[in-house]
Amino acid sequence: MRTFSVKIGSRRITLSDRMIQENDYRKWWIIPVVAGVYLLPLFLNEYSIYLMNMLAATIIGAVALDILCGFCGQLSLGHAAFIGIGAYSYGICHMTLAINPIFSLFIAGFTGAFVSLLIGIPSLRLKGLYLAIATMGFTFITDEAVRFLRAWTNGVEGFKISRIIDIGFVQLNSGDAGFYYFIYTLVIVAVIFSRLLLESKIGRAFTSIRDSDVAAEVSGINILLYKVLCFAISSFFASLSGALMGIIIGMISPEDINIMQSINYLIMLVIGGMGVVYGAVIGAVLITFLPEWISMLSNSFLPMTVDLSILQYLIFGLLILFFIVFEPNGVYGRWTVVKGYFKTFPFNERKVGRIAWIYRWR
Amino acid sequence: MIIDGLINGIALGCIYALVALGFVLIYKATHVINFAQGEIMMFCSYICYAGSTTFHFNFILSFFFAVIAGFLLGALLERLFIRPLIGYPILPVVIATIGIAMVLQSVAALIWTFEPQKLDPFSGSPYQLWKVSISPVHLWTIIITFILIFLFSLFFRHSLVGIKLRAIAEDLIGSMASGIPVRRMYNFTWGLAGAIGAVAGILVAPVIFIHPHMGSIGLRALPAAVLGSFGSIPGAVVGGIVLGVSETIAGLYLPKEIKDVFPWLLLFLVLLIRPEGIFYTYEQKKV
Amino acid sequence: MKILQVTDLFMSFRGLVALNGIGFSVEKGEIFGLIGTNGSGKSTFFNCVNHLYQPQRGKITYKGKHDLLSKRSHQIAKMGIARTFQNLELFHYTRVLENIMVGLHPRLDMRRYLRKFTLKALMSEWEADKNEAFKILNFLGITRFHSRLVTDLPYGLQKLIELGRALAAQPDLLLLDEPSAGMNESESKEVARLIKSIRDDFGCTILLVEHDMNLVQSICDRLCVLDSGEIVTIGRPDEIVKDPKVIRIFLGEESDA
Repeated sequence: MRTFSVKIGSRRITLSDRMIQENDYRKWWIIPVVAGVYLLPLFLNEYSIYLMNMLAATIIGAVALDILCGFCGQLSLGHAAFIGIGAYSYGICHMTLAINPIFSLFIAGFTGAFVSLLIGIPSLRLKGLYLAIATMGFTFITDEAVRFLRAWTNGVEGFKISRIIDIGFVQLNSGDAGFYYFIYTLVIVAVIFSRLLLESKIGRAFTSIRDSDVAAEVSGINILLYKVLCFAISSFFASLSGALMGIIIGMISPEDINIMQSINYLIMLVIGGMGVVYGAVIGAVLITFLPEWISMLSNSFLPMTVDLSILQYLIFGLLILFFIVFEPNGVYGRWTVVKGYFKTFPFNERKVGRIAWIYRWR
Repeated sequence: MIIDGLINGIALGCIYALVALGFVLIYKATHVINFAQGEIMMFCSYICYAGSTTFHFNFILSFFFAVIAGFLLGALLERLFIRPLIGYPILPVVIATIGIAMVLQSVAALIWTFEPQKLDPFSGSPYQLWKVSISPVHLWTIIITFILIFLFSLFFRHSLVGIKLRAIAEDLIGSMASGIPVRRMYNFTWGLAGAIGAVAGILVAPVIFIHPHMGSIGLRALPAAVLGSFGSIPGAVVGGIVLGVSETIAGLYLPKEIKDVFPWLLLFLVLLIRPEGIFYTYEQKKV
Repeated sequence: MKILQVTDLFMSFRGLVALNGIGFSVEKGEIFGLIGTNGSGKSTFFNCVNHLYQPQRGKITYKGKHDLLSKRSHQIAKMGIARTFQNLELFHYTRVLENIMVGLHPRLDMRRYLRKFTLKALMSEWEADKNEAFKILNFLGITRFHSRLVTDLPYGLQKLIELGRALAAQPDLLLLDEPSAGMNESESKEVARLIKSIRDDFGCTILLVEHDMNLVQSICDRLCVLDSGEIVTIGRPDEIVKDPKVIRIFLGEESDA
């Protein structure tokens, strides 16, 4: 056991590291998960690799929304717009202007971050849900703008993006296992980044704005600055995920920029667990594979006349309501409760290790 | 031409005002933006449609049928999904309203399919007032909206329930302590918002076809509510009419792409110039 | 040296006058108490110092040169003014340690992390930040609660945590809004001892609003009595309690008995 001492006034107090081990940051289950992710392509066919790559891009998008909604408590309904902006700016940089793809990825991210400043600064000045309304409007505006700027974006026909990227020493095709390793490395970087962000001064500022903006302000946190910063970081990752999505699909069109897409990401957070990075990851996995399961089930149980997309929409709506009403902490929150239950079995308290994201927001 | 545009604009603005009124009612009571307002509107116009085609009611009867159904729908949604969330922070409740919107939309699509339906009770030749011709739809929209707003202001100013609702909006804990049944009032507010949504839905139905996606008209009323300082009833009305008129006038001179997103461009203008809206009253958060 | 100078501060809420042209000054290193009945404008004054409220008239000068009413709330906090609230404003769903670390916010410099290149150096910097927070927790004697969620803790502890968050900023001026509200006699004695040791150990000036006359008498160097937004008198506690005006306003029933 390590000990160290601190001096307060004239007194000297010795602490042991047992005392300061407040959170267990060592999550050992991460190691098999990461190893499994890297070994997976050995057993997958081409279509599954494509799905897994899409999943990776979705995870980055979900983590991006978690930074905004979960950490900072700001609701955005314009996530799809930033994803679209990322894809289009990657496409324009890489295809039209022939810039190196890695640079183009970064430019796509920074374009999103820059646009988010234009939206965020006017709409985050007030307390309230103005950001939700403004981002929703921004989605419609982006959609129209993409159609309007035909010369750059190729309008309704959609913009073709090369599925091959050259990362310096090797060329990767987005259908191959090589791209799989590349994109999952990015996912891990994004997850680690957001974990570190949450533990840093900046992340604490975000969560304190979420929990009590007055207290945050009198503690010396510039609310507008940090809200805008949060929105910018979130939009950076959203645009990055959009660019990756564009590479994987090989195509982006204005139909992809709609409110429903943004709400999909919101559903991931609600189901996985808002305010927790792993929750966003779990939610992204579930929501990516849920449509497949729904179609499988409906094929075996329902008559063919039922429109699958309506059914999926209905189920997603019911899922939101179910989780918000019965388990607002999502799957991850429920899992921590279960874990706490078994850890202390049979001496359980009523509330064990519950990570509550149900914060006050006014 | 400009006069016609003005009248069209006022009629459109009245519909925006009614939808915005629905947003504002719920916002005032619970500080939540109800993203399902447009879907409640859509659902109720379908109910009116079903009343007049499936059950062969005459129009007046199916109108009231739909308004009552709107009231019950709003109250039911509150009871099922919003009441368990009392005491929660705002964000989950807002997300829950998005979930409600999705469910309503898909249920409507399952029952009535995506085929657009027509509901046009106000058909007939345009009336001539002085030198201006005004179509019956627009005339009735304007008349009904103004009657409703008049009734609303009377209700909020003079009826006991209206005063209780205002008290809840002002101070939740205080009104609980003075014995106001807060939950029942919330339920009533949602019902009221649903009924207003029903009226707006039936009035908008002749202009655009009834369709499961027509709820997005409701979202277009959000900038009107922001313009009128979210939470103010006269603000919602003025904001709605300003939005409707300026959108119609803009549609005359600007390309179609701009007209489609005009409310949202106006929203950003408001956020840049005066984010508090025009009917802002200075409020201090008590700490 | 005057750390806080208030001149002619006037504030009204839609016609209700909360502060009617008050003016006084606080010396560096003293414990200055604001007392008065409910609604006499004590908390309103605190909110003006933090610039959470915008008074219609008047001036608050900090350390002789900063005009607080031209600064934003977070800038005021960075200048070394920390406060607690009457009704707790804690970050309820984070852990105690993180609450304290929010208080450290103005003091932490993210750039020093960029100068560390090994993981070990980064971790030790991170530990150093945490140790700062642990010093505060130790001082308040609540180290053992560091990993609990704030909502799970009783009210008295939550008050201490809020105090800890204010202390973490190492303020020059500490505003305490009713530190002993909702506490019993022995607990408020403990609070009195704590406030004194805060002044001695942290060397900060303390401005406090309080109802508990015993507490105020025992720790304050000077007192200011407010009544409906106006200053009745300012002076030493032993003088104040003898002042007939104060007795009439504040201790009315006791003097009759």
